Amino acid sequence: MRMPHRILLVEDDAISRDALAALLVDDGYDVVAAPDGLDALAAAARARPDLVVTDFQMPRMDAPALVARLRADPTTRAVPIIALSVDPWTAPMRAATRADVYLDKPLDVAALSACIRSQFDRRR
Amino acid sequence: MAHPGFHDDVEKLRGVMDTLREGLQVLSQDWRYLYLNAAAARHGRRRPEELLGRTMLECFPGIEHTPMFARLERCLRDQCTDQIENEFVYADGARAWFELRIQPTPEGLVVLSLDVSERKQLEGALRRADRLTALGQMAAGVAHNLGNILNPLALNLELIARRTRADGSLSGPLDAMRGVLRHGIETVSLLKDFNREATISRVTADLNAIAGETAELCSAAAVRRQPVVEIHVTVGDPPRVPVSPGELLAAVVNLVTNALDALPEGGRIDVRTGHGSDGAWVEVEDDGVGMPEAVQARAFEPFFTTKGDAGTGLGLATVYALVKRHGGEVQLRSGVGAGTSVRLVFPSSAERASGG
Repeated sequence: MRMPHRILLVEDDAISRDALAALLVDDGYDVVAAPDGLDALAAAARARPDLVVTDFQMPRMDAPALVARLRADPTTRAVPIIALSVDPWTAPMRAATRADVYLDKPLDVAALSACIRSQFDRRR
Repeated sequence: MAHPGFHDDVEKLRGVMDTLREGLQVLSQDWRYLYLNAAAARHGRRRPEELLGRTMLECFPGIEHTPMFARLERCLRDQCTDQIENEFVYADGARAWFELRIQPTPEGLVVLSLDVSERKQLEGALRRADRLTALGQMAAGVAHNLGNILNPLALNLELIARRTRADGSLSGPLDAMRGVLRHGIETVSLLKDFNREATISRVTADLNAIAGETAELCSAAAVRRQPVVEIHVTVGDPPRVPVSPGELLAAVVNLVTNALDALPEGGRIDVRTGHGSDGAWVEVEDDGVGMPEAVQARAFEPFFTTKGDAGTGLGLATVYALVKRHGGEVQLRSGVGAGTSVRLVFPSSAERASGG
C-alpha cells in the first residue's frame, strides 16, 4: 500500500485549523498542523511534508517568510505550496509570497480539495 | 490717486470696472443700487438698468430673510467689514456660489463678489471622492473581519455536513445553513472589491457585445414588468477596453436592473455604446423616476440604498469600484422625474499604452 500524502497545514486560527485538518484527514491525507510560520519550519524539517497549505497573515512568521525559507532549503524546495488569504491577493502580495496556488478565504473546501489533487497529479 | 492722463476720466474708469471678473456694487443706506459694474449685474442675472436706483428688496424679493442680508445689515449697522461665501438661489431655482467682501462706505456699503461656483463644485466632488475612498477602506476592513469569522464557520459546517451524511434528517438544515453562508461569503467578496488595487487587465471587452448580452439577459425581466419596459440597444464603434468581460457584463446588468427599478410605471431603457476624447463608453439611460440631488451625491457609496431591505447598497458601489480600478470614470446624470443615465467611460487600450 502507498503511504498517504502528508500535508503541512499552517493556520493561526485554531478553530479553522482543527476543522480543515479534520477535513483533509477525511480526504485521506496525513496532516501535520502548525499555528504559524516559525512552528511550520520546525514541523517541515521533522515531518517532510509533500505539500504545504498556509495562511498569509500569521503572528511570528507570515507566509512570505515561511515560503522563502522552504524554497531556500533543498529538502523542501520542490514542495508545492498553496497560500490562503482573507484579503484579496494583490500582485505585490503574490510577488512576496511566491506560492504555487493562491486561494481566497472564506475557503471553498471543494476547490481546495481539487487543487491539492491536481498538485499531486502534476508531480506524480 | 490717478495718473494725470487718467485723472477724472470717469468713463475710462467705468470701462475698466466693467472688464473685472469681480462684481462691484455700491449700495445706499436704504439698500438702493447706486453703482454696479458688469460682473455684479451678471452675478444677479439682471441688466444694470433693471437694478440701478431700485432697492435690493424690490429687485430680489425675499432677500431680506436670507442670512446673507443679515450680514449686510450688520456691516451697515456696526460699520464693520465682513467676508462670506454665499449660495445664491435664482428665481428659476438655479444656484451659484459667491464669495462676498463687504465694506462700509459713507454712502452705505460696497460689496465685491466673486463667482466661486466652479471651485465649490470641485470641492464637493473631492469631498465625495474622499468619502468614497474612506468608505472603501472601511468596507475592506469589514470584509477582512467578516471573512475571518465566516472561514471557521464554513469549514466546520463542511465537516459536520460530511460526517452526518448518513443522517438524512440533517440535510435540510445543513443546506439552509450552506445557503446563508454562501450569501455571507458573496457579500464579503463584494466588499473586498472596494479596496482592490488598480488592475491592468490582460483581457479586453467588446462594449457592443456587452450591450447586446445585457439586453438579452434583462429582456425577460423587462417584459415581465407590468406595464412593460422596453430595452433598446444602440451601438457605436468603441475600441475594446481592457476590462474582464464577465465583470463588465455584471456591472452593466446591474445598471439595467437599477433602471428597471426606476420604472414602476413602465417605460424605456436605452443601452448605448460609443467613444469620445476621454475613452470608450457604455451607457444605460432610463426615462424613469430619477434621483434627487441628495441621492445622486451618495449613489456610489457602499451600503447606501433607497430600496430598503430589497437593496444591499452594494450595486452601484461595486460598479464604481470596478470602473475606478480600471482607471475609468462613472458619469451620472439624473433629475427627479427626468430619468437617469449612468455612463461608464474607460480609457481604451491604445490610450493607456501611449499614456503610460
